[in-house]
Amino acid sequence: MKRLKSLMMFLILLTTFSSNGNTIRMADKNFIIKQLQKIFTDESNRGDFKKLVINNFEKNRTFFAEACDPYETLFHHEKEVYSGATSEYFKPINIEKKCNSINDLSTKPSYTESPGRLGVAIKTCLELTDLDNSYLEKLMTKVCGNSSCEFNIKNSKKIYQLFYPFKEISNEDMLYLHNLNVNQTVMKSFQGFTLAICISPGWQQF
Amino acid sequence: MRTRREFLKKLGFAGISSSFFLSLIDQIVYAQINEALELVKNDFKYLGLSMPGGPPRWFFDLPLYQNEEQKNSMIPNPMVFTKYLKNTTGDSALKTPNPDGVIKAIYELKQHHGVYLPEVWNSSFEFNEVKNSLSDLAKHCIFMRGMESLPFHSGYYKAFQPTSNIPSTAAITSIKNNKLAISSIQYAHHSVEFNHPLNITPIVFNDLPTNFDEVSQCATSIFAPLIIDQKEKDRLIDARIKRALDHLEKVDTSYSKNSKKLYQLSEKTRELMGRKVGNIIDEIIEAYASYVKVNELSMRTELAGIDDAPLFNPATSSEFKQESHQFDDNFNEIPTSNYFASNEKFSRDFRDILRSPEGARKKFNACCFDLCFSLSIAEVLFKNKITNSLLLTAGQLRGILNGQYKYKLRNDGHDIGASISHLFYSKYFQALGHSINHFTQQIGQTNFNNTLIHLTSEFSRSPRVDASGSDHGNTACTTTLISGMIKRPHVLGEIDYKMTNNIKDIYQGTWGQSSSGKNFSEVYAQIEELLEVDRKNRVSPNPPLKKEEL
Repeated sequence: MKRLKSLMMFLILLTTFSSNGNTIRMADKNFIIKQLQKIFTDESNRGDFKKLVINNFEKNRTFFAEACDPYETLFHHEKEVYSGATSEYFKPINIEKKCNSINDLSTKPSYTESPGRLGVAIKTCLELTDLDNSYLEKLMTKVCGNSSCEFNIKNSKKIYQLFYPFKEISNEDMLYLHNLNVNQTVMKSFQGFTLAICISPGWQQF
Repeated sequence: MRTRREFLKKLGFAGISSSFFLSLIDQIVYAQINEALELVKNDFKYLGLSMPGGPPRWFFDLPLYQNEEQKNSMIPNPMVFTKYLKNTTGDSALKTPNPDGVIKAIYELKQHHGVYLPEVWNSSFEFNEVKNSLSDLAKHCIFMRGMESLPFHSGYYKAFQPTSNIPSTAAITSIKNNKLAISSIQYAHHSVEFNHPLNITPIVFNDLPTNFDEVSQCATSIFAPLIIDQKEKDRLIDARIKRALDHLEKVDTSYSKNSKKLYQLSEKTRELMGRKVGNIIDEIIEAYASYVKVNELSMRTELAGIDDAPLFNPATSSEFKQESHQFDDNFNEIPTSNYFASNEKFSRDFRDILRSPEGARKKFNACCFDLCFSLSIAEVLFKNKITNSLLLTAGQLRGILNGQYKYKLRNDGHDIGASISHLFYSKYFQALGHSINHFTQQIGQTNFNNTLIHLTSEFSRSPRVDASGSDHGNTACTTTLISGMIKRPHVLGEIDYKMTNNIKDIYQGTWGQSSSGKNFSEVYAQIEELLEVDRKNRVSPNPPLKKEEL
């Protein structure tokens, strides 16, 4: 019995430490978009967010290496001039035609990582945390209930958990991350902290 | 009770054991992949150049022979020739019809560094006071001919991938060097299955410039997701962000060991976004300008036996049969021989495209923009150590400017007339050779010694001796390997020129010939040898050339 226990313990340890850690599985494009939408938007800025998604994700959709989804709606940004005025609108694209024309990477699995893919997420995070935009205020409202939010460890942890809902972070780690962004205006503190969490690739990984 | 306990024990033991064995199997497989990853030197570079649609045999793609015996055994083929006889020389030929009224096309190779090559390999000129000599390039080439059953077709995206489940040649090079920002870059129009064992996707771009002004736009499109403005760059390279991400990496790695690799890739991406991309695009534009000049100069460099033929003379041009036709909607059709015969003014203009002086380039010009773009990307990214693996296009001759008209000569051009086709494809390949030679000079000798240029096309089948043409396919394929580590030219191939002299056989061996005895799998063997793939991980069981033979 004792021998069996030792053997089992040995096997468990061996199995644990022998994990090669080779495979990275990324979340697909739609998960990332939905997650960012949940964190940074409400009804009032949903339209701006849609434009941001089109410019960053849709225009670079091949980096996400996903199979073409014929049910997805794709929009093309167009300008129209009439009676001296310019109107901008999004014209739906014939997705079926678009799907048929995609020949690159469309058959690759959607969970592969690449600099292009990470670049799209980083670029989006920079725009979402730009103080000229309203996205950061929406995030603060979600954290504190209103946009006059204090930058403290508790609120920092809430932001972390919006991105990493299933991961616990120790108080020491949170203190370290929080302290990197103190001694500046509240908005700047939130901006720096949120940007780091947003561009960390861990939350985009399964 | 005891039975149930034992059952649970056994179940638990079986579960843990199977988990252990699965892990063990995984490790064995992973170890093999890891070994496969130890394939190439860290600084080794690979440039795959595909000629989509494939031009007719000429230059890189011509049948070659290694000795006089092979030469004498060759069967004349009306589809392949290297020069015209019975022409007169110089401009006088263009003004006065050939008195005989007959021009004869012949196939002629000359000995060159020990092998027999077309005369065009003697072409040379000076650019920026540096001699650009194709003879220098020839020394570093392995010409592979008649590789039966190679699965080559860019449309089938197999050209650069030996077999399924094996990393593509681009991936082989990109796997090991994890210090690079991007694993690979490829042009997507003629898609190549990347098949990276680590599932890392390359950067893929779709657009090619059709004129000089579009190059910036196309270069930008490659790095589109990585381009940010200065204000965003400042925020991204902030030291606090770096420290926060380093710490988050530790936190994440405690959950999953895979996170470390992902954070490393993210760091390289941020470095590229924060510091380099803008400069890289500027460098690509600058390099592109230099390739365009070399390419245009090559187009204007006279080819003996071709340029001096009176082909465009109305009195003789109708001697050449025209073929059928299909062209890109955006470009006018290149006139056929018959058109030349009926329109002397036009034919003179068209002739001037390639013969007018440098100063007239704004009105009459020819340039392979696609190729210039591909080589400028390769040069800049290799020099900056952004990637060491590229699969790009050798392109098509899009930039033909005849006064106000713009033309494109498609590689798969069936219908432009034999004489026009012969002239332009000769120029195309001459420019291809000079442009690649310029590339090898630009990256420097050390880099060239560690670079493999893999030039290939699906249009490599043996031309049919019944004069019905040649097609895309996988019979008698060709490839040319170019590297600084190759010290003299080689002609390798497997179709025995003596075996298929049956006139009824449309794929006679002569035209895919080389009796070196090397079979098709040695194409791969040679590539693997040059990439220093570990022997036990090779696709091809055949022995390649020994190093001392190179």
